[in-house]
Amino acid sequence: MTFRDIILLAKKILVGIIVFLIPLLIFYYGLKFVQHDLLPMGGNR
Amino acid sequence: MTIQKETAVKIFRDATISLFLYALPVLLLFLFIPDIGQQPWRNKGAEGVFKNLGTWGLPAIMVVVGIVEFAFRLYENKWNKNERVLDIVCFVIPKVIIRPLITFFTLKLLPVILPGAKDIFSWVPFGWAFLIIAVADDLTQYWYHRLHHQVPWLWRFHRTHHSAPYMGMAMASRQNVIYTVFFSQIYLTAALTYLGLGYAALFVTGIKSLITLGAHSSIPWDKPFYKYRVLHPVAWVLERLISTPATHHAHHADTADDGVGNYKGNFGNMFFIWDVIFGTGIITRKYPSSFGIKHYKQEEWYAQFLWPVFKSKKAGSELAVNGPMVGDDVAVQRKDEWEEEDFVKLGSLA
Repeated sequence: MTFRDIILLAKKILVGIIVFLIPLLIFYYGLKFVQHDLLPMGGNR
Repeated sequence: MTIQKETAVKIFRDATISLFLYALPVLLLFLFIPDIGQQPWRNKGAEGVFKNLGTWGLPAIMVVVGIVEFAFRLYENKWNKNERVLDIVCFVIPKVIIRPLITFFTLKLLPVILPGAKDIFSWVPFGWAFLIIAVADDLTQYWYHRLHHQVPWLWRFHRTHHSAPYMGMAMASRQNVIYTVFFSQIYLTAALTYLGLGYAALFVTGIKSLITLGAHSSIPWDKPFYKYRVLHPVAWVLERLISTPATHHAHHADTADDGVGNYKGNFGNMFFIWDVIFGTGIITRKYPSSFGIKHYKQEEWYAQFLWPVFKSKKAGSELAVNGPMVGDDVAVQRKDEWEEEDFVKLGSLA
Protein backbone atom coordinates (compact mmCIF):
# COMPACT_ATOMS: atom_id res chain seq x y z
CA MET A 1 0.00 0.00 0.00
CA THR A 2 1.55 3.26 -1.13
CA PHE A 3 1.18 6.87 -0.01
CA ARG A 4 -1.01 7.45 -3.11
CA ASP A 5 -3.30 4.64 -1.94
CA ILE A 6 -3.61 6.25 1.49
CA ILE A 7 -4.57 9.58 -0.12
CA LEU A 8 -7.07 7.74 -2.33
CA LEU A 9 -8.59 6.05 0.73
CA ALA A 10 -8.79 9.38 2.58
CA LYS A 11 -10.57 10.98 -0.41
CA LYS A 12 -12.94 8.01 -0.63
CA ILE A 13 -13.78 8.23 3.10
CA LEU A 14 -14.38 11.99 2.70
CA VAL A 15 -16.86 11.35 -0.13
CA GLY A 16 -18.62 8.79 2.10
CA ILE A 17 -18.85 11.28 4.98
CA ILE A 18 -20.27 14.04 2.72
CA VAL A 19 -22.86 11.67 1.20
CA PHE A 20 -23.84 10.66 4.77
CA LEU A 21 -23.75 14.11 6.35
CA ILE A 22 -25.80 16.18 3.85
CA PRO A 23 -29.03 14.13 4.13
CA LEU A 24 -28.53 13.72 7.90
CA LEU A 25 -28.40 17.50 8.35
CA ILE A 26 -31.46 18.00 6.11
CA PHE A 27 -33.52 15.48 8.12
CA TYR A 28 -32.19 16.60 11.50
CA TYR A 29 -32.85 20.31 11.05
CA GLY A 30 -36.05 19.73 9.00
CA LEU A 31 -37.61 17.55 11.70
CA LYS A 32 -36.32 19.88 14.46
CA PHE A 33 -38.08 22.76 12.69
CA VAL A 34 -41.35 20.81 12.46
CA GLN A 35 -41.05 19.66 16.09
CA HIS A 36 -40.27 22.97 17.75
CA ASP A 37 -42.15 25.48 15.64
CA LEU A 38 -45.25 23.57 14.65
CA LEU A 39 -46.08 20.91 17.22
CA PRO A 40 -47.63 21.84 20.55
CA MET A 41 -45.21 21.17 23.46
CA GLY A 42 -42.38 20.56 21.01
CA GLY A 43 -43.94 17.34 19.82
CA ASN A 44 -44.21 15.73 23.26
CA ARG A 45 -47.79 14.56 23.17
CA MET B 1 -7.67 10.66 -15.14
CA THR B 2 -10.25 13.30 -14.19
CA ILE B 3 -14.00 13.33 -14.31
CA GLN B 4 -15.52 14.53 -17.60
CA LYS B 5 -16.93 18.07 -17.46
CA GLU B 6 -20.34 17.01 -18.79
CA THR B 7 -20.60 14.28 -16.12
CA ALA B 8 -19.55 16.73 -13.38
CA VAL B 9 -22.26 19.19 -14.47
CA LYS B 10 -24.91 16.42 -14.42
CA ILE B 11 -23.76 15.26 -10.96
CA PHE B 12 -23.99 18.84 -9.62
CA ARG B 13 -27.45 19.37 -11.18
CA ASP B 14 -28.82 16.06 -9.88
CA ALA B 15 -27.27 16.56 -6.42
CA THR B 16 -29.07 19.91 -6.19
CA ILE B 17 -32.38 18.24 -7.13
CA SER B 18 -31.62 15.58 -4.50
CA LEU B 19 -31.50 18.21 -1.73
CA PHE B 20 -35.16 18.90 -2.54
CA LEU B 21 -35.96 15.17 -2.73
CA TYR B 22 -34.42 14.61 0.72
CA ALA B 23 -36.44 17.51 2.15
CA LEU B 24 -39.68 16.38 0.45
CA PRO B 25 -40.84 13.86 3.12
CA VAL B 26 -40.25 16.44 5.87
CA LEU B 27 -42.14 19.09 3.84
CA LEU B 28 -45.05 16.66 3.31
CA LEU B 29 -45.03 15.83 7.03
CA PHE B 30 -45.22 19.58 7.72
CA LEU B 31 -48.24 19.91 5.40
CA PHE B 32 -50.13 16.82 6.62
CA ILE B 33 -49.24 16.80 10.28
CA PRO B 34 -52.49 15.81 12.11
CA ASP B 35 -51.92 12.08 12.52
CA ILE B 36 -49.09 12.40 15.06
CA GLY B 37 -48.85 9.35 17.27
CA GLN B 38 -50.50 6.90 14.87
CA GLN B 39 -48.62 3.69 14.16
CA PRO B 40 -51.24 1.74 12.20
CA TRP B 41 -48.91 -1.05 11.02
CA ARG B 42 -47.60 -1.71 14.48
CA ASN B 43 -48.38 -5.30 15.36
CA LYS B 44 -46.24 -8.01 16.80
CA GLY B 45 -46.56 -10.43 13.88
CA ALA B 46 -45.07 -8.11 11.25
CA GLU B 47 -42.50 -6.78 13.73
CA GLY B 48 -41.28 -10.30 14.44
CA VAL B 49 -40.96 -11.11 10.73
CA PHE B 50 -38.86 -8.01 9.98
CA LYS B 51 -36.71 -8.46 13.13
CA ASN B 52 -35.88 -11.99 12.02
CA LEU B 53 -35.22 -10.74 8.48
CA GLY B 54 -32.66 -8.30 9.87
CA THR B 55 -30.79 -11.00 11.77
CA TRP B 56 -30.79 -14.54 10.32
CA GLY B 57 -33.70 -14.29 7.84
CA LEU B 58 -31.99 -12.64 4.86
CA PRO B 59 -28.83 -14.77 4.92
CA ALA B 60 -31.12 -17.84 5.14
CA ILE B 61 -33.19 -16.64 2.13
CA MET B 62 -29.97 -15.99 0.20
CA VAL B 63 -28.64 -19.48 0.90
CA VAL B 64 -31.94 -21.18 -0.09
CA VAL B 65 -32.40 -19.12 -3.30
CA GLY B 66 -28.68 -19.60 -4.08
CA ILE B 67 -29.09 -23.39 -3.82
CA VAL B 68 -32.12 -23.24 -6.17
CA GLU B 69 -30.12 -21.12 -8.67
CA PHE B 70 -27.21 -23.54 -8.46
CA ALA B 71 -29.47 -26.58 -8.87
CA PHE B 72 -30.94 -25.10 -12.04
CA ARG B 73 -27.40 -24.39 -13.36
CA LEU B 74 -28.06 -20.66 -13.56
CA TYR B 75 -24.36 -19.89 -13.01
CA GLU B 76 -23.52 -21.61 -16.33
CA ASN B 77 -20.34 -23.22 -14.93
CA LYS B 78 -18.73 -19.77 -14.50
CA TRP B 79 -18.50 -20.19 -10.71
CA ASN B 80 -14.88 -21.34 -10.63
CA LYS B 81 -12.70 -21.63 -7.51
CA ASN B 82 -11.52 -18.00 -7.48
CA GLU B 83 -15.11 -16.67 -7.90
CA ARG B 84 -16.41 -19.10 -5.27
CA VAL B 85 -13.86 -18.04 -2.63
CA LEU B 86 -14.47 -14.35 -3.38
CA ASP B 87 -18.28 -14.69 -3.19
CA ILE B 88 -18.18 -16.68 0.06
CA VAL B 89 -15.67 -14.30 1.72
CA CYS B 90 -17.82 -11.31 0.65
CA PHE B 91 -20.93 -13.04 2.04
CA VAL B 92 -19.43 -13.91 5.43
CA ILE B 93 -16.83 -11.26 6.39
CA PRO B 94 -18.99 -8.08 6.09
CA LYS B 95 -21.60 -9.71 8.35
CA VAL B 96 -18.88 -10.12 10.97
CA ILE B 97 -17.39 -6.61 10.48
CA ILE B 98 -20.35 -4.37 9.60
CA ARG B 99 -22.72 -5.30 12.43
CA PRO B 100 -20.21 -4.54 15.23
CA LEU B 101 -19.21 -1.33 13.39
CA ILE B 102 -22.81 -0.09 13.20
CA THR B 103 -23.41 -1.07 16.83
CA PHE B 104 -20.30 0.87 17.86
CA PHE B 105 -21.37 3.85 15.72
CA THR B 106 -24.93 3.84 17.11
CA LEU B 107 -24.18 3.16 20.79
CA LYS B 108 -20.83 4.90 21.31
CA LEU B 109 -20.18 7.55 18.64
CA LEU B 110 -23.65 9.04 18.08
CA PRO B 111 -24.22 10.00 21.76
CA VAL B 112 -20.95 11.95 21.49
CA ILE B 113 -21.73 13.55 18.09
CA LEU B 114 -25.42 14.24 18.90
CA PRO B 115 -25.62 14.41 22.72
CA GLY B 116 -29.15 14.30 24.14
CA ALA B 117 -30.69 13.59 20.74
CA LYS B 118 -31.61 9.95 21.35
CA ASP B 119 -35.23 9.28 20.28
CA ILE B 120 -36.01 13.01 19.86
CA PHE B 121 -38.01 12.24 16.70
CA SER B 122 -39.90 9.25 18.08
CA TRP B 123 -43.07 11.40 17.75
CA VAL B 124 -42.91 11.09 13.92
CA PRO B 125 -45.84 8.87 12.82
CA PHE B 126 -44.87 5.48 11.42
CA GLY B 127 -45.96 6.19 7.84
CA TRP B 128 -43.91 9.39 7.66
CA ALA B 129 -40.93 7.77 9.36
CA PHE B 130 -41.18 4.96 6.78
CA LEU B 131 -41.14 7.50 3.93
CA ILE B 132 -38.22 9.44 5.48
CA ILE B 133 -36.10 6.31 6.00
CA ALA B 134 -36.96 4.97 2.52
CA VAL B 135 -35.84 8.22 0.85
CA ALA B 136 -32.85 8.70 3.19
CA ASP B 137 -31.49 5.19 2.83
CA ASP B 138 -32.16 4.53 -0.85
CA LEU B 139 -31.40 7.96 -2.34
CA THR B 140 -28.14 8.00 -0.38
CA GLN B 141 -27.25 4.55 -1.71
CA TYR B 142 -28.16 5.73 -5.25
CA TRP B 143 -25.63 8.57 -4.90
CA TYR B 144 -22.96 6.42 -3.29
CA HIS B 145 -23.38 3.89 -6.11
CA ARG B 146 -23.58 6.44 -8.94
CA LEU B 147 -20.46 8.29 -7.78
CA HIS B 148 -18.50 5.01 -7.78
CA HIS B 149 -19.45 4.58 -11.44
CA GLN B 150 -19.05 8.16 -12.63
CA VAL B 151 -16.01 9.38 -10.68
CA PRO B 152 -13.06 7.49 -12.23
CA TRP B 153 -10.91 7.24 -9.08
CA LEU B 154 -13.81 5.68 -7.13
CA TRP B 155 -14.57 2.94 -9.68
CA ARG B 156 -12.02 0.39 -8.45
CA PHE B 157 -13.70 0.28 -5.00
CA HIS B 158 -16.91 -0.93 -6.69
CA ARG B 159 -15.42 -2.98 -9.52
CA THR B 160 -15.55 -6.27 -7.53
CA HIS B 161 -19.36 -6.19 -7.60
CA HIS B 162 -19.31 -5.95 -11.40
CA SER B 163 -16.56 -8.43 -12.15
CA ALA B 164 -18.86 -11.45 -11.66
CA PRO B 165 -19.64 -12.97 -15.07
CA TYR B 166 -22.98 -14.25 -13.70
CA MET B 167 -25.95 -12.98 -11.69
CA GLY B 168 -27.42 -14.56 -8.58
CA MET B 169 -27.32 -14.79 -4.80
CA ALA B 170 -23.65 -15.78 -5.00
CA MET B 171 -22.61 -12.33 -6.23
CA ALA B 172 -25.28 -10.20 -4.51
CA SER B 173 -23.00 -9.44 -1.52
CA ARG B 174 -19.80 -9.37 -3.60
CA GLN B 175 -18.08 -6.06 -2.82
CA ASN B 176 -14.65 -4.70 -2.01
CA VAL B 177 -14.44 -4.50 1.80
CA ILE B 178 -13.72 -0.74 1.78
CA TYR B 179 -16.80 -0.08 -0.37
CA THR B 180 -18.86 -2.05 2.17
CA VAL B 181 -17.39 -0.54 5.35
CA PHE B 182 -17.97 3.04 4.14
CA PHE B 183 -21.51 2.51 2.80
CA SER B 184 -22.95 5.96 3.62
CA GLN B 185 -26.58 4.86 3.87
CA ILE B 186 -26.06 2.30 6.65
CA TYR B 187 -24.63 5.02 8.91
CA LEU B 188 -27.40 7.44 7.91
CA THR B 189 -30.07 4.86 8.75
CA ALA B 190 -28.25 4.05 12.02
CA ALA B 191 -28.22 7.78 12.89
CA LEU B 192 -31.94 8.14 12.09
CA THR B 193 -32.58 5.02 14.21
CA TYR B 194 -30.75 6.72 17.11
CA LEU B 195 -32.91 9.82 16.56
CA GLY B 196 -36.07 7.73 17.00
CA LEU B 197 -37.00 6.37 13.57
CA GLY B 198 -35.70 2.86 14.28
CA TYR B 199 -39.05 1.07 14.06
CA ALA B 200 -39.62 2.31 10.49
CA ALA B 201 -35.98 1.50 9.63
CA LEU B 202 -36.61 -2.11 10.60
CA PHE B 203 -39.35 -2.38 7.95
CA VAL B 204 -37.62 -0.33 5.24
CA THR B 205 -34.32 -2.21 5.44
CA GLY B 206 -36.18 -5.55 5.36
CA ILE B 207 -38.24 -4.63 2.29
CA LYS B 208 -35.22 -3.06 0.60
CA SER B 209 -33.10 -6.16 1.13
CA LEU B 210 -35.82 -8.37 -0.41
CA ILE B 211 -36.12 -6.08 -3.47
CA THR B 212 -32.35 -5.79 -4.04
CA LEU B 213 -31.82 -9.53 -3.59
CA GLY B 214 -34.66 -10.18 -6.05
CA ALA B 215 -33.08 -7.77 -8.55
CA HIS B 216 -29.75 -9.63 -8.37
CA SER B 217 -31.27 -13.11 -8.56
CA SER B 218 -30.84 -15.15 -11.71
CA ILE B 219 -34.48 -16.23 -11.26
CA PRO B 220 -36.37 -13.73 -13.46
CA TRP B 221 -39.42 -13.27 -11.21
CA ASP B 222 -40.53 -10.25 -13.28
CA LYS B 223 -40.91 -12.23 -16.54
CA PRO B 224 -44.63 -13.07 -16.10
CA PHE B 225 -45.40 -9.34 -15.78
CA TYR B 226 -43.99 -8.78 -19.30
CA LYS B 227 -45.44 -11.97 -20.78
CA TYR B 228 -49.13 -11.63 -19.92
CA ARG B 229 -50.91 -8.61 -21.38
CA VAL B 230 -53.23 -8.33 -18.38
CA LEU B 231 -50.20 -7.73 -16.13
CA HIS B 232 -48.62 -5.06 -18.36
CA PRO B 233 -50.03 -2.10 -16.36
CA VAL B 234 -48.53 -3.61 -13.18
CA ALA B 235 -45.22 -4.12 -15.01
CA TRP B 236 -45.25 -0.48 -16.17
CA VAL B 237 -45.53 0.77 -12.58
CA LEU B 238 -43.19 -1.86 -11.13
CA GLU B 239 -40.28 -1.26 -13.53
CA ARG B 240 -40.40 2.49 -12.88
CA LEU B 241 -40.77 2.20 -9.12
CA ILE B 242 -38.38 -0.57 -8.03
CA SER B 243 -35.33 -2.41 -9.36
CA THR B 244 -36.38 -5.53 -11.24
CA PRO B 245 -34.15 -8.36 -12.49
CA ALA B 246 -34.48 -6.93 -16.05
CA THR B 247 -33.37 -3.38 -15.20
CA HIS B 248 -30.73 -4.41 -12.66
CA HIS B 249 -29.32 -7.21 -14.82
CA ALA B 250 -28.94 -4.53 -17.54
CA HIS B 251 -26.74 -2.62 -15.05
CA HIS B 252 -24.52 -5.72 -14.73
CA ALA B 253 -24.28 -6.35 -18.49
CA ASP B 254 -20.78 -6.41 -19.97
CA THR B 255 -21.84 -4.38 -23.00
CA ALA B 256 -24.31 -1.65 -23.92
CA ASP B 257 -24.06 -2.46 -27.64
CA ASP B 258 -26.98 -4.91 -27.61
CA GLY B 259 -29.53 -2.23 -26.66
CA VAL B 260 -30.32 -4.10 -23.44
CA GLY B 261 -27.26 -3.49 -21.25
CA ASN B 262 -26.84 -0.18 -19.43
CA TYR B 263 -23.80 -0.58 -17.22
CA LYS B 264 -23.29 3.20 -17.17
CA GLY B 265 -26.74 3.73 -15.65
CA ASN B 266 -29.59 1.95 -13.79
CA PHE B 267 -27.98 2.82 -10.45
CA GLY B 268 -31.13 2.43 -8.31
CA ASN B 269 -31.12 -0.17 -5.55
CA MET B 270 -34.57 -0.47 -3.96
CA PHE B 271 -36.21 2.30 -6.02
CA PHE B 272 -35.66 2.68 -9.75
CA ILE B 273 -37.48 5.99 -9.63
CA TRP B 274 -34.22 7.87 -8.93
CA ASP B 275 -32.93 6.74 -12.34
CA VAL B 276 -36.20 7.92 -13.93
CA ILE B 277 -35.92 11.35 -12.24
CA PHE B 278 -32.23 11.87 -13.04
CA GLY B 279 -32.33 10.32 -16.52
CA THR B 280 -29.74 7.65 -15.70
CA GLY B 281 -32.04 4.69 -16.36
CA ILE B 282 -32.96 2.57 -19.35
CA ILE B 283 -36.06 0.43 -18.84
CA THR B 284 -35.80 -2.93 -20.54
CA ARG B 285 -37.90 -6.09 -20.51
CA LYS B 286 -35.11 -8.22 -21.93
CA TYR B 287 -32.14 -9.73 -20.12
CA PRO B 288 -28.51 -9.28 -21.21
CA SER B 289 -26.84 -12.36 -22.67
CA SER B 290 -23.58 -11.87 -20.73
CA PHE B 291 -22.54 -10.18 -17.49
CA GLY B 292 -19.42 -8.74 -15.90
CA ILE B 293 -16.76 -6.46 -17.35
CA LYS B 294 -15.10 -6.91 -20.74
CA HIS B 295 -11.61 -6.25 -19.36
CA TYR B 296 -11.95 -8.74 -16.46
CA LYS B 297 -8.71 -10.61 -15.84
CA GLN B 298 -10.02 -12.98 -13.15
CA GLU B 299 -7.98 -11.11 -10.56
CA GLU B 300 -7.10 -12.97 -7.35
CA TRP B 301 -9.97 -13.01 -4.81
CA TYR B 302 -7.86 -11.28 -2.13
CA ALA B 303 -7.00 -8.39 -4.49
CA GLN B 304 -10.67 -7.94 -5.43
CA PHE B 305 -11.76 -8.05 -1.79
CA LEU B 306 -8.96 -5.99 -0.22
CA TRP B 307 -7.70 -3.60 -2.93
CA PRO B 308 -5.79 -1.25 -2.48
CA VAL B 309 -4.27 -2.99 0.56
CA PHE B 310 -3.46 -6.02 -1.63
CA LYS B 311 -2.87 -5.64 -5.37
CA SER B 312 -3.37 -8.04 -8.25
CA LYS B 313 -0.41 -9.66 -9.95
CA LYS B 314 -2.26 -9.79 -13.31
CA ALA B 315 -0.53 -7.51 -15.79
CA GLY B 316 -2.66 -4.63 -17.07
CA SER B 317 -5.33 -5.17 -14.40
CA GLU B 318 -7.10 -2.17 -12.86
CA LEU B 319 -6.17 -3.70 -9.49
CA ALA B 320 -2.47 -4.17 -10.30
CA VAL B 321 0.32 -1.81 -9.23
CA ASN B 322 0.24 1.08 -11.73
CA GLY B 323 -2.82 -0.48 -13.38
CA PRO B 324 -5.28 1.72 -15.32
CA MET B 325 -7.89 3.57 -13.26
CA VAL B 326 -10.72 2.52 -15.61
CA GLY B 327 -9.97 -0.43 -17.91
CA ASP B 328 -12.92 0.44 -20.13
CA ASP B 329 -11.33 3.76 -21.11
CA VAL B 330 -8.06 2.02 -21.98
CA ALA B 331 -9.98 -0.33 -24.27
CA VAL B 332 -11.82 2.60 -25.90
CA GLN B 333 -8.58 4.58 -26.21
CA ARG B 334 -6.83 1.60 -27.84
CA LYS B 335 -9.77 1.15 -30.22
CA ASP B 336 -9.54 4.84 -31.17
CA GLU B 337 -5.77 4.49 -31.71
CA TRP B 338 -6.33 1.41 -33.88
CA GLU B 339 -8.97 3.21 -35.91
CA GLU B 340 -6.61 6.18 -36.32
CA GLU B 341 -3.77 3.85 -37.37
CA ASP B 342 -6.09 2.09 -39.84
CA PHE B 343 -7.12 5.48 -41.23
CA VAL B 344 -3.46 6.47 -41.71
CA LYS B 345 -2.72 3.09 -43.35
CA LEU B 346 -5.72 3.47 -45.67
CA GLY B 347 -4.59 7.02 -46.48
CA SER B 348 -1.09 5.84 -47.38
CA LEU B 349 -2.54 3.04 -49.53
CA ALA B 350 -4.66 5.54 -51.41
